[in-house]
Amino acid sequence: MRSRIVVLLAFLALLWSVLIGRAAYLQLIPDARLQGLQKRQFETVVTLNARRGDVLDRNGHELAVSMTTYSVFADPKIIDDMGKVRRILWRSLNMPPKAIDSLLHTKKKRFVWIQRHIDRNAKELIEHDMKEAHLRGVGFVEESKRVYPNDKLLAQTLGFVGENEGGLEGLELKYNSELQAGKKKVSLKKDARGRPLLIGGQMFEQAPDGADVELTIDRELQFVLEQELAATVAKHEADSAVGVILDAQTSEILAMGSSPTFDPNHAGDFPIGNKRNRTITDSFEPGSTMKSFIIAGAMQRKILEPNTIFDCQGGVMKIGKRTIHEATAAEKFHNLTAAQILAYSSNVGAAKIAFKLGEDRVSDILHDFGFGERTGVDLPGEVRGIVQAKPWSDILLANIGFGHGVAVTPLQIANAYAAIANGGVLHKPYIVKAVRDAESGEINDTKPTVIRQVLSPEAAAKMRLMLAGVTSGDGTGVGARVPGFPVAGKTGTAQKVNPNGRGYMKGGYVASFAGFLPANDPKFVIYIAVDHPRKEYYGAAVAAPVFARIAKFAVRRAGLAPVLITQDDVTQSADLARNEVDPVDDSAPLPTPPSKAAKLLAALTPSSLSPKKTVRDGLKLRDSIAKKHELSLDDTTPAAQAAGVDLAAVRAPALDPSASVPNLEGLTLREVLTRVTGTGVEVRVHGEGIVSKTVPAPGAAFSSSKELNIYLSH
Amino acid sequence: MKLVEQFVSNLSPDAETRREYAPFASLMIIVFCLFSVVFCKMEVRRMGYSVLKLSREERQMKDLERQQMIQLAKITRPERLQQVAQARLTLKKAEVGQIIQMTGRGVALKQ
Repeated sequence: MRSRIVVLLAFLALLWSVLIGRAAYLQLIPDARLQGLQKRQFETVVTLNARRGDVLDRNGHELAVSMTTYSVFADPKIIDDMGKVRRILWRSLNMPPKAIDSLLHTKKKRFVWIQRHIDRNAKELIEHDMKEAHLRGVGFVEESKRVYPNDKLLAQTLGFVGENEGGLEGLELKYNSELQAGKKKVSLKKDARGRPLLIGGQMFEQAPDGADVELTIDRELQFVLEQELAATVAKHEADSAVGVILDAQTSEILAMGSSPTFDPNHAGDFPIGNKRNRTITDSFEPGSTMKSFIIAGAMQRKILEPNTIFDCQGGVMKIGKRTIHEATAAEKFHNLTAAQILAYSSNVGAAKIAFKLGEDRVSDILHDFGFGERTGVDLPGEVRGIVQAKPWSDILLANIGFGHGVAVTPLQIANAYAAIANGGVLHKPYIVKAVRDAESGEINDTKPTVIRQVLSPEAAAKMRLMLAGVTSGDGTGVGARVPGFPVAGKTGTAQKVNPNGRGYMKGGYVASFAGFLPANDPKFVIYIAVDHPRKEYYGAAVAAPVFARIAKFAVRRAGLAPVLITQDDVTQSADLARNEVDPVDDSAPLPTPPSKAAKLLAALTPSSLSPKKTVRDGLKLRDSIAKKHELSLDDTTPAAQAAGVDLAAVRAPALDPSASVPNLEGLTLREVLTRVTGTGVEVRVHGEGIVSKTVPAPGAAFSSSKELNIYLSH
Repeated sequence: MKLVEQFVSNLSPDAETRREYAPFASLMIIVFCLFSVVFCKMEVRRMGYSVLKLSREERQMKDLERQQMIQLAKITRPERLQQVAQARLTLKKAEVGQIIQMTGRGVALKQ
């Protein structure tokens, strides 16, 4: 018996030893398979989604943003009551019951999407209803959705993203790596209900968001540009219209766009053509806007001066078997100066200048101004344009003189005009002002990049005056005038290439206007081109008025003070420049001696026409202008407005802060402000209506701070 | 005085009594420590759940803030403002003669 007990105890002891040994083996000896099993049972992987970066305009307005959404899925196999689930989904998602049925009645599948990208309210409603009805089989996946709050605004430049927020077009594509956010996966212990446990101080850290991209675009200016382009397309029954606005000094892109456009929130609903950023992807023959560069290049190379005369042969010039005409048969020009060739847009004159330069120099000029090569703008899909390889035939050289035989993009043209506007420096245009890293807060600012000096400051100043002449007197660009601001620019009317064969399309034109303002101290370069307008087709009639409307808004938005040089003053100076012709022929131009024209040119330089000076002398100038134009002080005729005279300012004398306070009672606020502008008196306005009281009182002296309190009442 | 000494001697156990109670006291201390450890672990876990809940709430609030920011951007887009100004408030675009350029010191305004 005893021996049996001993044997049993020994057996039990052995059994326990085996068990303890096995337990020790499992606990102490590392085993990858067991560790994997443990990990699967006790750990959960949490994916931390990060936000794609925002795209903002220069003033911080949101142009493209991302928001959290939820996508609904179902597991049809575990849904007990299909009818109830269908009702819940139909009520929350506004989906037709039949569509829900077709998705849910696929018992073979364990996962079907019901709807992507619903908002939090809809998700909470479904969750609540499912819980109330004790149902299961419907779940949610958190996702992110790209939203363009301004709908179509800047759509072609912004581009759009795909279903998983990857950039597909435009800036979304170009800056995808900066904008894209990293997904972070964190492995955490979980409890019996699958909830993650925070152990050892381990916290949820958000994955780094994508960087925010700040653009040089001004949202309001962009809106006005797009609105005007759309209106022009509708008015002239055109195929499309395109526009670019640049900062004249740095080539920052302030606005760019074309019509028709698309809504990036529903990119799939629009034709592919609407999504193209035509300002950089479309090249076309620019027409007469090109003459400016040929003449500027010729002036830079001392081939001509503004007053050099060319014989335009009555508007007809034979080159081999071909004949070059002016834009209309009525234009039978003979002797025109270079400035007049630009002002009247003479094709024969421009061709003669091109011949005078020769193909090598014309080719160099085109290269200098950046034609035939990409501008380097930070947008995808830019084309080079076309400048044919040399040697050129005579007819091609002549054609290039007036903007045919080459193809350029709207951005190239605008950027080249910016070089004339800013004193001869060609910059690389850019649209991204800064990239702001969300994690570190580091900001990468973009600085203006100089490509090359293409004109001397003197040649650029002469070109500015000549281009100001285009919008003066009987120049072709009078439709681009902006009262109060001298405008320099050039019209263009180019024939469209026949897409179905050789030659040009019958009745197909591209009407354009390129210019900048104020001509004396340029701030904005604006280029407008309208493709195949059907009612009118001259750049002067179609594009120049669009330029004027956009330019008016731009100067007002920038708070630029009128320079108080009227268009008539520019006309006179331009006329003087034209009339002071030296007796030279087009084969041997002589340098221009210092003349009245040169003095006027100096008068149009920024230093002498600074806003400060014009404000200081403003009222005197306005008085003299009103006198010169024989305008009565209460003249409100369109003629007065066309002369650019702010008659409100002329009506009453300016306040003199060194004298006593005048009696202003009964005047409107506008009348008071008009009298005060530029005098140094600081006005504080109280109330609404007309002036009932002033402090200091009428007759009293101004205080040392020159403060004038105006009390208004009805 | 004598009574006090007797009372004190009753309170402070003699060596034999101390030896008698020492294992029990030690066990109590160990149990107390173990309970403390368990309590602390429970607190950590409870606070973990609170942090988890609060971090989810924080995310929800951030999402809500973002949604409202997007909503604000949508309702202040230039196209809508123009539509409201022209259709609802019957405003018209400013003409040249209606615009005053205020350029005096302290009143230069961007529009």
